[in-house]
Amino acid sequence: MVFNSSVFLVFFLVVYALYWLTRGRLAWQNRLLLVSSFVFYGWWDWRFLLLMSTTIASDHLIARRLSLTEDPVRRKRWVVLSACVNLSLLGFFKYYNFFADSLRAAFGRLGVEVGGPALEIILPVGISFYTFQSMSYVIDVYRRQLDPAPSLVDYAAYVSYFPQLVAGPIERGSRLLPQMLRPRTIRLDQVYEGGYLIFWGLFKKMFVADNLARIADPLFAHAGPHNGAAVWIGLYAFAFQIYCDFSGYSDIARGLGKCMGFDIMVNFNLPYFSSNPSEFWRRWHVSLSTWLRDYLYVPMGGSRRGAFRTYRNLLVTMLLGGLWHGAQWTFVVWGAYHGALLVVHRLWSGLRAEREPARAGGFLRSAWRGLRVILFFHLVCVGWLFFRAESIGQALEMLAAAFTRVEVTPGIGLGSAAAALLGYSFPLLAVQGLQWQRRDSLAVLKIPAVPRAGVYLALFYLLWLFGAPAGKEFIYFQF
Amino acid sequence: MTLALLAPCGWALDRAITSGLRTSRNYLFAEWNDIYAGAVDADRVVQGSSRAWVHVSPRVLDSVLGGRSYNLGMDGHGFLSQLGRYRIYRRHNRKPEWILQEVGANTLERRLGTFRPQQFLPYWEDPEIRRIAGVGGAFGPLDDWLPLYRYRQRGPSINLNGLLLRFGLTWLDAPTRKERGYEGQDKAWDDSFDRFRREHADGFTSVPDPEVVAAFAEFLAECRREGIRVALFWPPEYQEVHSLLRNRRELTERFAELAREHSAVFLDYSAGPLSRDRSFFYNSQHLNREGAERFSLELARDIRGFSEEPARARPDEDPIENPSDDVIG
Repeated sequence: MVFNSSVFLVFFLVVYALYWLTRGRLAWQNRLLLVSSFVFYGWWDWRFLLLMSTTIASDHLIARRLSLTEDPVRRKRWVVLSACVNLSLLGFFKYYNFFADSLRAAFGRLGVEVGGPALEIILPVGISFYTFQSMSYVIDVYRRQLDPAPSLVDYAAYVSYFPQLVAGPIERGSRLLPQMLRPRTIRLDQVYEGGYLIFWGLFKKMFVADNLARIADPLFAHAGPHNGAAVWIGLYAFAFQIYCDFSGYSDIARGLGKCMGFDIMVNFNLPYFSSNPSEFWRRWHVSLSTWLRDYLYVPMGGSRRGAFRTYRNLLVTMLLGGLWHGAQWTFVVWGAYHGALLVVHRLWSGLRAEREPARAGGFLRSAWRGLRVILFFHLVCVGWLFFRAESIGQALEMLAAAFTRVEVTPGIGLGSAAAALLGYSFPLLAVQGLQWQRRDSLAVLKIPAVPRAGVYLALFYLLWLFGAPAGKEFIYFQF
Repeated sequence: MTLALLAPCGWALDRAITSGLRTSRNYLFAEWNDIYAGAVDADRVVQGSSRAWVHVSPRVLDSVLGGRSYNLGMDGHGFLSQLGRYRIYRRHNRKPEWILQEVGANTLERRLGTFRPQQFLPYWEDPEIRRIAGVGGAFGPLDDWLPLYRYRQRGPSINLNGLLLRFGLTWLDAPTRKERGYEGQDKAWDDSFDRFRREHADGFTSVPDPEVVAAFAEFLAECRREGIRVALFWPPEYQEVHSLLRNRRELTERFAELAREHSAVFLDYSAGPLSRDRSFFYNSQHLNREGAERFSLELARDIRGFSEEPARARPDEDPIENPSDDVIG
């Protein structure tokens, strides 16, 4: 069931009522969370529960074993076992056909026919998210940064916690597990903030993302050739669509968590206000980027072993980050592209310090930053081309069109698409401008009562009158 | 404060969108707006389903018959909805001289579903509109009671168009291409009949619904009482579909009998010359523009012939008591 559906509304109201009734009884509350999370996840396909249970059971057992041995060799074996189990399951369900087809194609170019079955494998919803979450727990126990969960129920509730199960944020054991193990208080101000986050998340999803999808989808469904102006409009639409779809989900997850007394991590921090790739990856999908940093980039050496190895580590990390998103070469290219941006940024930063113009006043500084933000946004949009395209060939064709075939041709709907893009993104930009100016994601909650009421009413009726129908799936479910 | 303002703002937005849409010339609302504004103003009204809407050109009728015609054909709606629309039309417009009622295999069946529910939004306060629209389940009790509820998820362009029209801005209001309710179809033959024939290889049977039949008879009786002449016409159909309707003869005889009982005329064009030429059709049930305008001419000429005859008396009426009526047949 998706957050933006009446089924979920009923589900959450029932769970929340029971959650409220079990306040003060932690064990019962955690059991309730576990059962409701399994119901939530099993709603897609009950078979998915078997897979998730395997991950939960094996990692819980491994973490317990880790805590019982001091032998470094044994400890390493246990953590490697966890990684093997998790990555095997993830690899099989998500990447088997991708690698099999790629191998077949590669050998085929050499004139060698490689057999082997093409399996019809259902990709379990959210497998990439909960697998990484569970893996991070075992690694943190191995690193002695975290004590293992005392009970299987508590650990299972942590992994399967339904607000963030299928599309993140990818929580860390050190953040979420302690909250699972201590009594939670539900305060009115938390419920108010949670309610706002849920509403804002739904607005981003149903008003911005799902409506902009109607501009972006036809562009990418079109085989080509493309008009460059249409490519840019579609790209801008997709940039806001994917941001609002994904961050909307994260906001709803945070909001649901807040209503239950949990503090789920912030996953998006105004990423399109970034002026360089390093800043972007500190603001975009923070839970994944920090996971990759802590469990991949840093163990590979990070930036501690010289420039060449730093660049290599950046590229490999981002390449694998791209592959995490899906079993397609377009995602790999997207990841490599961002890796290249990070490398170039590092090189550039190393060559000259990033300083504002000498003796620049506040306005010039802001203008310079604004220009860099706009330029970098366009670099991000180029990356989205590969992320969203059906194939690398299509992405390259559209990229060429974007720079060589920009024609504002009347009668093909560019004007109305541009107007729709502006109309649907304006409320988002207005609110986020306030959040940026105040450096506060909950800035709207802190403006005076009358304008605040005006904002709520405007957003509510925009959503009511112009929001897309409920029930459209979130993009990141496919990852 | 927000909660206190929610309902008044909702009510105000509802009024704004509704009043805006009542001035729309968009294809969804133009005919309804004409009906409620008393602007139909017709000597002849065409009624029926899509087979009325795309088949009968008021312009062609007027060129033969003079006066003014208007096509109230309702795409995707059965007779009960058409009757509802007629009642609303009569409430706001003068009595016509003729009603040309399209009939066919589906006329006496109960039709489920609410096609294009958005067309009913601006006049939702009218119980007759609610009755027409509520048949198909597209609306529910909350649409009756909550302001703005019926506008949710009906299409952002409709809501925005309504708001803009409220302030006199027609940017989004694409005028309908219909001419007084008629829109000729410039389409080539498609494969829908081939698919239909495969799916109904053994044919199909039309099952009249008793309530619909009763309503149809009452409609004819009412027209008779009010002195409105009625012509039931079965438009041309592509000949290959004839054999698939297993109870075609029963239906035509039923319409003929209803017409006789209520002093109407029944004109069966289903197997006429047009039906033999596929180039006049875009599917087995619908004529393209060229076919429709030829048919409209034929219909107009036949109606002219009947117009020159006085209306028939009811079979049980004593002709001596109505010396101005000739008894025909």
